[in-house]
Parts: sequence; structure tokens; C-alpha cells
Amino acid sequence: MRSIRSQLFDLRPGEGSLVLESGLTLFGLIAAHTMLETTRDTLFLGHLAVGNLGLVYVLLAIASLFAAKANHGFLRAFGHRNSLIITLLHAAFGNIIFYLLPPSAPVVFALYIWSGLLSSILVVQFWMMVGQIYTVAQGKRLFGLISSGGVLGAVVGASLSLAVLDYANVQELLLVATGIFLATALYVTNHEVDRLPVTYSEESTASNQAGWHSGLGLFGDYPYLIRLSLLVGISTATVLATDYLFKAEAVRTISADELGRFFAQYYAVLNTSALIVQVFLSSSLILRAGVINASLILPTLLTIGGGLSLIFGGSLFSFVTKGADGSLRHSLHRISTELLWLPLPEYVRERAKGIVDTVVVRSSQALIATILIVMSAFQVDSSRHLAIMVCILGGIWLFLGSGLKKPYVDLFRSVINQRLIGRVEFDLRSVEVVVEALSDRNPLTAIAAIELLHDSGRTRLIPALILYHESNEVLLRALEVVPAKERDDWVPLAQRLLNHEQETIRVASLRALARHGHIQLIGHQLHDISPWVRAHAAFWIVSQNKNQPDLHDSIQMILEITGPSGREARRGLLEAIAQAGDKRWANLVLKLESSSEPEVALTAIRSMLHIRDPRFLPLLIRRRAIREERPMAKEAIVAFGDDALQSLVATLHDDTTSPRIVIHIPETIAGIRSKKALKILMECLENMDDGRVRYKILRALAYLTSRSSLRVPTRTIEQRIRAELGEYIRLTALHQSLVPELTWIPSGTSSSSGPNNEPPHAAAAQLLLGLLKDKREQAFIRIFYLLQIGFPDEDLRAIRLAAQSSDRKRRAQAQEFLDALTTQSQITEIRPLLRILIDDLSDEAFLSRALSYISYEPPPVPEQALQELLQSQDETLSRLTLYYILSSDQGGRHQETIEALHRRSSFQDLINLFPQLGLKSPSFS
Amino acid sequence: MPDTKHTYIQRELFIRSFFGVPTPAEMVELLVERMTDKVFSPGDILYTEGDLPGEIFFVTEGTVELTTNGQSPWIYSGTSFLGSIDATIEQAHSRTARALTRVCASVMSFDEYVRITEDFFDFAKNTMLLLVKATYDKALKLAPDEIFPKTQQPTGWSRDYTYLDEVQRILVLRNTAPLRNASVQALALLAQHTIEERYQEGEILFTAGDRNLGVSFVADGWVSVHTQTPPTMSKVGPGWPMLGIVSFSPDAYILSATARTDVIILRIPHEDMYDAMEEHFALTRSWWQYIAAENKRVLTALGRHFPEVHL
Repeated sequence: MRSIRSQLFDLRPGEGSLVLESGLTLFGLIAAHTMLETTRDTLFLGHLAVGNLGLVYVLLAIASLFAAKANHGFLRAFGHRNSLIITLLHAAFGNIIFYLLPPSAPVVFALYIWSGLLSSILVVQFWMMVGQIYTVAQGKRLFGLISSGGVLGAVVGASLSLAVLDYANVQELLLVATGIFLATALYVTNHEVDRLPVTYSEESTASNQAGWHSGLGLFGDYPYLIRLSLLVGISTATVLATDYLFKAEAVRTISADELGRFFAQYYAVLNTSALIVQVFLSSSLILRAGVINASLILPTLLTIGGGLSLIFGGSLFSFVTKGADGSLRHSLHRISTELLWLPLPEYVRERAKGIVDTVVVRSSQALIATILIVMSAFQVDSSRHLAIMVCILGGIWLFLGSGLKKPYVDLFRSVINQRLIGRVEFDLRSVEVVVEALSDRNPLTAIAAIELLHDSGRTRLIPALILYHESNEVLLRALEVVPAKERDDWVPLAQRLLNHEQETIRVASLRALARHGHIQLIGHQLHDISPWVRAHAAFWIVSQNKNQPDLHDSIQMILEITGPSGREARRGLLEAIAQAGDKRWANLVLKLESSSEPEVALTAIRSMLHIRDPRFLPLLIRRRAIREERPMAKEAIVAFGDDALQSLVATLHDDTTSPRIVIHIPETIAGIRSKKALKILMECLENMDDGRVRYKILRALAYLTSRSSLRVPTRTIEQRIRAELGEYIRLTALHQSLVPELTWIPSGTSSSSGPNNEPPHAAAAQLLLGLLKDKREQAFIRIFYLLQIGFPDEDLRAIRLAAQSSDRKRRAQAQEFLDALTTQSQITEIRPLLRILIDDLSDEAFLSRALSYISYEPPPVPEQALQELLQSQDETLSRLTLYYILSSDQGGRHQETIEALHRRSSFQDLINLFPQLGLKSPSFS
Repeated sequence: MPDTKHTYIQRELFIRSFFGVPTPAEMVELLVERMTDKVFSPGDILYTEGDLPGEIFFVTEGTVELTTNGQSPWIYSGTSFLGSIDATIEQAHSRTARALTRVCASVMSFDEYVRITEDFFDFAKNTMLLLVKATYDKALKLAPDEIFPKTQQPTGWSRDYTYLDEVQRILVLRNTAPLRNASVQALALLAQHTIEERYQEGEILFTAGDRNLGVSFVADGWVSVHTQTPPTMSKVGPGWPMLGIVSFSPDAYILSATARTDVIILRIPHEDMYDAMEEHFALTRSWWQYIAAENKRVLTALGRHFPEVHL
């Protein structure tokens, strides 16, 4: 029973009372409204011609404009709960007045408008209150249940109407409705809603202070709102046309005396079917199909219904079409529409929803009503014409609804990423700010300005006069950035710096001049006092020759210098080669690399990073181990393209390669960005045993796919995600089954102690649990890397961080984003598991749901969990488990395991340590 | 959202020059996007003692005073970075920050800052090295016996290890101050790179100027660490990095160390430590917390010697 209940209602601890409060409130609202609606329709169609419906819709729309403004003021002034109470009290008061007035045509007209206004305001207020309480994930699970209260209210309201009509006239229903409104108001006074912390951002406060009309500006900021408004508008128009078709057929086929009973009976049947849909179908449909697809079910049915009415005529299909509307509009459709609002920030939702649910809805009704009046005037309002209208409007609704898929996901993406603006653009004032910073005496500020302009491709804005700056650091950076072929204002200033007292500045100047074709200006530097500067000058001058430059006299002179000056000169030459050398220098670099002078040899290796020579490849790969040289080494290796792949793979599989080199190879392979590189990475992912390397391969694949058009087949991704999900579930199950054993550690069981006076087995238990949690988190991260590979255009890291956030709303947004993303893709099998993965569940609840998706039998007792961990391929995990078993086996519980382990050679060293722990050594036969 | 392009540019320029280490352009962009500018008048409170830290303040101009009862105020002038120490060590603000002049600051959530930093390990490492140096320089203004934190032997630590296996190494590392909050996975990785060294009483471990061989943790026994100028000595015992926060720096030793008793040292080469930190951000945060806590200790100690601490 509990299982069936949990499948139907997925209610989590702490949610029950909130859902009950919300459900009962909606029950009261809808029950009273249903009775009011029955009275209204009966009196209206009994006293006035059906053609007057158009006029009443127009007036209702106008009245709604004022009501929306008042509603917004109410909400700001009194909060969600109090506004609802005030509205309910007004509803009761108004009903009494209508009850006391004779049912003349103007009174009936006014009653229609009154009930229409009430329904829109009350429902908006209620759902805004609910939207404040629940996250999008809770909404998907719980709105169905809450809506059930409303549908049940409709059933009870309609049934009560039927019962009352047996003994009294239709106006008496107003009194009963009044009583229900009052009772609901009294009940709502107990709600906690406005005591929940609601935080409004500065943006929200500013926006609200700007007044009601500023809410319209939000539509410009959020194009999604425009789409949503269009959708709401067209859906309103469609259901109104359906309603008109239904009522026109009812008046045509049913006598005026029977109308009251007909409506009461019809609404009772309708609402009962809505309740069934609500309880048994809504939530599961939304969870399975996704919010957008679920929101398309009603328009699909109305379009088909309209089509059948058109083809076959008669009242049957009109009644059935209205039946579909009545069954789904307040259940499935209401929930999916409310969920469509949840990606929007709370303050946007609060302002825009009021406008859309009143102004847009009523304007749409007014428009359709006007069209109906015109149709009536020209006598083109037959059932056939109305059916065509329903068909067309339903089709447009479907079209608009389908188009909402991408914006819906985009909005979640932007909310989660919180990316507000793109790359900065400059305006006149910005340029002034940067130029001012360039002349700042603080070198850090001036360099920051140079970097900013350089990174944004605006180096032309840097004045050449910066080469007069007093800071050497600024001069060095400016000499790298300012010189360009298309400008020559810097040349005389750089030439002046050739005589600077600092060697580094002299070299930077000569390099800048040489690079941009001013070789003739640096000849003098061949006679510089510094051998280091002379070597640089020689390199640049000789580089102009097409012949073997290392054989040039100037270079030979540099190489022949002896002593410390010679070392400086050779180092200078190699640095120059490192900056601008090419293959012609390769032999010289190789020669100097074997130099007996360590500094020279090291500089030679560094210069290899810039010369593309296959002989250097193994050396370059080894340089990936050195943090400072990693980026340069990668760049150099990647420049070889596919030619480097063979060496990289060989190094990766060579057992003698240092792990520090191995872990950087996947990233290097990915840098090559070719099909072959992708294939190799995929193969390595399958074949490599080392978990650290596999993790790096995943990262590399994510990098490769997101920066190229290369793609991994969806099927492969899905299989791997499934495997990782299985691992995540397995680790959770192991952790769960070990918690009772490992968190209950009797103290004082050992005379021996580790750090912090912990008994060894207590320390080992903590480590074991910690390691299991770490490994589980890593599986979680791997799943998101795989998703990143599957969806290379998305920022899945941001989604993962949102999923791990302490903010439940952000977690829910991540869950919904992922759900919507996978709904649109071919990754379908693992969708339910992914949803559970991010859901707010305890480990126990997670396992109870997740284990049904994989073939894994969790260990029933801790001893079996320990046995399973001992078999782990992760050596740290298995050894830690063994350590725990050895140190905790006071009662001989693990004797059998220990005996088995004693025969396992890989654990022998640890077992030999056992006496060291100060524990009694188990005896073995 | 930045209100104008030029305020955005101003903020970007400020951040690029703020940290004193190369700041990747992509990181600057992410930081700037998430900041909001605030101006405080003299007397305004930036944050209050006892509040939970959530925001950090990049002060671009102005003077801020950090006060608490019975201790000398810390006075920050010019550009400064406020709120980060308490946020890093996950404690409520221990002082109230009040503007003494007009103060302009760019403010952002500390969690966001950490999240962004996670992607730029070299930046994080370099700023930590800067903080280590700044903290040590400040510590040198203290009395000789205050330069290093007083270390005590953790209760029940002492035991005769004849050999430290991988699990025991993890246990030792887990209980050291800088690695206390590291994940087990990270500790396991470090344990694999750990080199065990044993010294007898009186033996010199290294002298100032020697090449730095890595971060050394005392596993067992006691070590004397001493400087020449000012002449000072500290006793370092089990559970502590031998050189305190300076251990984090790979530069040549600036201190000398001698074994006071027979000692067991676990040494991790810096590059292995940095590699592990890059892979396991919790390890980076753990070091960060240790360095920030030491910075706070030094500032508090300075307050005992000076009526105002100017920073």
C-alpha cells in the first residue's frame, strides 16, 4: 500500500503538511468557484441570448486590467497569504450582494463579470503563493497532488450544486459558495507562507519600486516571457472558442429548464474525470514526457476534437472536446503551465505572471469575444464555423508550444550559469579609463591596461609614448605588445631603448625592431658590452639568411666565447632561438643540449619547445612533467599534429613512464583535435586501468568535443554514463551498508593508538567511509564529464555545481535543465536515473529508487560489503579495507576473510605489519 | 550587472592589477561579471563581528578599520581584500569592518570566488605563495618566540613506528594542520608520493640556503627550526609541517632544522603536492585554510605589540 502511495505521490519527509495546506486551500477555492460558475452559466444562458457572451468577455477583459493592478498592489502590501484572505472575504461579501439582488439581465451580466474576475484573481494569487514555496523539482512531483485538491473541489462543488438544486433554486448556490469562501479564508489564516524567508534581489526591489507598468519592461529583458504570453493568449482563445462551441450546442439541444441540472451533471462528470487524470496520470505524464511535451497534450486533443466536430457535426464531439478541456485544463495543463513559469527568477515571475494571467488572458478573451460577436452579426457562428475556429487556434497553440522547448532550456541554462554579459565592449568613456590607466605610475595598473587592450585586440589604442614609462616591467610588456607592422610611431622610441642601462630592455627593443623588419637598426648591438645581448643581436641578424644560420661567422663567434661570458652568450642565443627559431636551428640546439653546462643544456631543451623537429618529440613529452613548461610543451607537441600521436600513445602505454608525465598525455592528445586523436582517446578510455588516467581521458574528451566538431556516438556515451551511474549506485550501497558497522566503533578496544589517540580500526573506518564518499563524488563528476561529451555545446560543469549546491532551488533548476536537455536528445534510457541522481533524496531513498534500474544486489550485511571492497581494483580501497578488517577483528568475525587474505601475496606486506599495530595476531593454520 | 561599460572596464583593470600575480583574462572576466560596486561613507559598516561571512570586498580606495573588543584595530588603506580570512577558515567574522573614509569596493560572494578559482590552479597557487610570503614577513616583526605557532604534541600521537605503510601515512597526513580538510582520495595520492626519512637526535636536516626538497611533516619526534636574523628557534612536533606555512613555498630553505630527538619525517616533493592539489581542490582549500588561519594568528599577535596594525 505504502509502495503504491509512494509511486503515485512521491511525497518526501516534511512535505506532507505543506501539500495538505495547499491542496485544501485550492479545494475550497475551486469548490466555491464551481458553484458560482454553475449559478452564473444557468442564470446567464437562461436570461440572455448566447450571443451576449462575446460582450461579457470584452467587459471582463477591461475589468481585469484594473483588477491586475489592484492584485499587484495587494501582493506587495500584504504578502501572498493575506492578499488571498482579503480576496476570499471580498468574494463572500460580493456573493451575498448578488444573492440579495433580483436576477435581472444587468445583474446576471454583472454576476458573470464578478465570477470571472474572482476566478482569475484567486487562482493567480494561489499559484503565486505556491510558486514561492516549492522548487521546480518539487513542483513536478507535488503540483499534481495539490491540483488534485482543486479538481476534488470541482467534483464536490458540482455534486453539491446537484444536491442543492434538488431542494432549492440556482441562486441558493451563491450562499453555499459564500460559506466555502469564508471557511477557506479562515483556513488560510493558519498558513505559514509569508513567514518563509523570501529574498528579493536589488534588481527585484528596484524593479518593484519603479511601479506596475515597469513590469512590461521585463518582457524586453526576457524574450521567453513574450513566447509564454503568446502561448497563454492562444490557449485562452482556444479554450474560450471550445467553451463557446459547447455552450452554443448546449443551448441548441437542451431546454432552458434543464440547463441548470445539465450543467451541474456535466461538470460533475467532467470534474470526476479530471480528478482521475490528476491522480493517476498528470505527474507520471509530466515526469515521463517532460514539461513541454505534457503541455502539448491539451492542444493536441482540442485540435483533434475540433476536427472531428467539423467532419461529423452534431453535439457529441463538441461535448467531448469540451470534456477534454474540462478534464485536463485544471489538472495536467494547469500543472505544466505553472511549471513553465518556474525557470524565471522569482521577482520576474511575480511581476509578469500577474500581467499575463490577467491582462493577456482577458485581452485574448476580449479579442476572441469580439470575433465571435462579429461572426454572430454576420451569421457565421454555426457549430461548423466554431469547430474550424477551434481547429485553427489549437493548431497555432501546438506550434507555439513546440517552439518553447529551446527557450525553456536556454532560460534554465542562463539562470544556472548566471552569465550576465558577454565580452566587454568599449565606448568612449571606457577608452578614456584605459588610456588613463596606461599612464599610471603604478606598473601593475599600467600593465593591466596593456593586457586588457591586448586581450581585446585593441593594441592600437596603446600610445607609443608608453615606451617612456619609468618602469622596466611596463617597458618589457609594451615592447612585446605595441610594435606592429601597420604602425611605426614606436620605432624611434624603441631605438632609443637600445641604449637602456638594463640588458633585458635592450634585448626586448632589438627583438621588437628585428621582428618588424628594422634589422638595419640593431647592427650596433653586435658590439654590445653584454655577451647575452650580442647573442640575441646575432641571432636576429643571421636569421635573415636562408642558408644554415648556425654556420654563420657571427654565430661561430658567439659559440667560441669561453668562460662565464661564453655561457651567457650561448644562453642568450638559445633564448633567442626559443623565441623565434625554426628548424634550421635544430642541429645547434641538439648540440648545445648535450653541453656540460647545466644552464645551457636546460635552455636548449626549452628552446626545443619552439622548433618543430620530430627528434625533439620524446623530450618535449617529458617536459610536460614540468609545471612552468607544460603549456609551451603542449603547444609544441600539438604543432606536430597526428605525427605526434604515435609517440604520445607509446609513452602512455610505457610502464616506465613517470605518472606525472602520463597524466598529462590525454590533454595533449586532445589538443591535436583530429579524428585520430578522438579515436585514440576513446580506445584508451576502454583499455587503461589507472583510474586517474581514465579521469584525465574523460576531461580531455570533454575538452576535445567542446572545442571541435568531433563527436562521440550517443550510444557509446549513454553506455558509459549507465556504467558510471551503476558505479555510483554501487558505492552508495556499499557506503550505506557499512555505515552501521563503521560508525559504531567501541572505544578502548586497543592499547595501541594512532594520531589523535584513535584506535587504529576507528581511524581506518573513518578513512574507509571517507574514501567511499570521495569515490562516489568522483563517479558523479565523471557522469557530468560524459554528459559534457554528449552535449558539447552546454556548460555541464555549471550544471554539476548547481546540482551540488546547498541551495535547493538551484539543485531543482539543474535537475529540470538536465531533464529537458535529455528529453530533446537521443539519451533517453538513463533519463530516469539521472533525475534520481540529482533529486533531493536520502541515500536510503535514493537506493530504493535507483537499484531497480541496474542489476546489482547490494550486500545485505557489512561483512559482505567488506568482502566486496577487498576485491576492488582500487588498491587504496582494498588495502584500507584490509587494514580495517585486521585492526578490528577483535571477536574473530573476519577470521575466515583474514585466512583467505593471508594467501594473497599483494597484501602480504600489510599482513606482516599486523603485530606492529599492537593487536593480537590471528592464528593461522 | 555592471551599470556601464566603463565601470566594467575600471573593475577589470583593477582586478588585473590587484593580486600581484598573473591573472588569466578568462578568470578576470568571470570575477568582474559577478561583482557589484558599493560605496561606503565614513562610519558605514562593511560587515559585523559575529556575522557569518558570505561576501568578500575588493577595496579599490579608502581606509577600513577592523575592530574587536580589547584588541588593537587592523587598519587597511588603499587597495585591500577584506572578509576573505574568516570566509576561508569558515568562521564567523571575528572583527567588525568599518569605513574610516569614503570606501569604494567591488563585492562578490566568497563561494563564487572559490568556484572560479578552482578552474585556475596556478593562479590559486601563486596567490597562496604571495600570502605565505606576506604573512611570514609580518611574522618577522613579532617577538622571536611568536614567529612560529606553538606546536603541541597531539594527545596519544607518540608511538614507535618501525615502518610507515600507506595507510599509516594517510593517517599521519590526515592529522596535520594543512591537510586536515583534504579528501581521503587526495591523502591517498599524497601518501603514494611521500618519502619517509629518519634522523637521529642532533642530526642536521637542512640549513638555510639548501635546495628545498619538499614539504616535510613531522610524523614522530621533535625538530628545532631556527633562523639567523633574527636569531630565533621553534620546536616543531608531530602533526606539523616543519616550516609552518613557509613549507608551502618551493624556494630554497630560509631556515635551518636540527633533530632534537630521533625523528621520522614524511616529505612530499612540492610538485607532487601541487599536482595533487590541482586534481583535488579540497586539498588546495585545506592548505588555503591553514595559511589564512596562520595569517590571522600573526595579525592578532601584531595587535598585542602595536596600538594599531597598519596593512
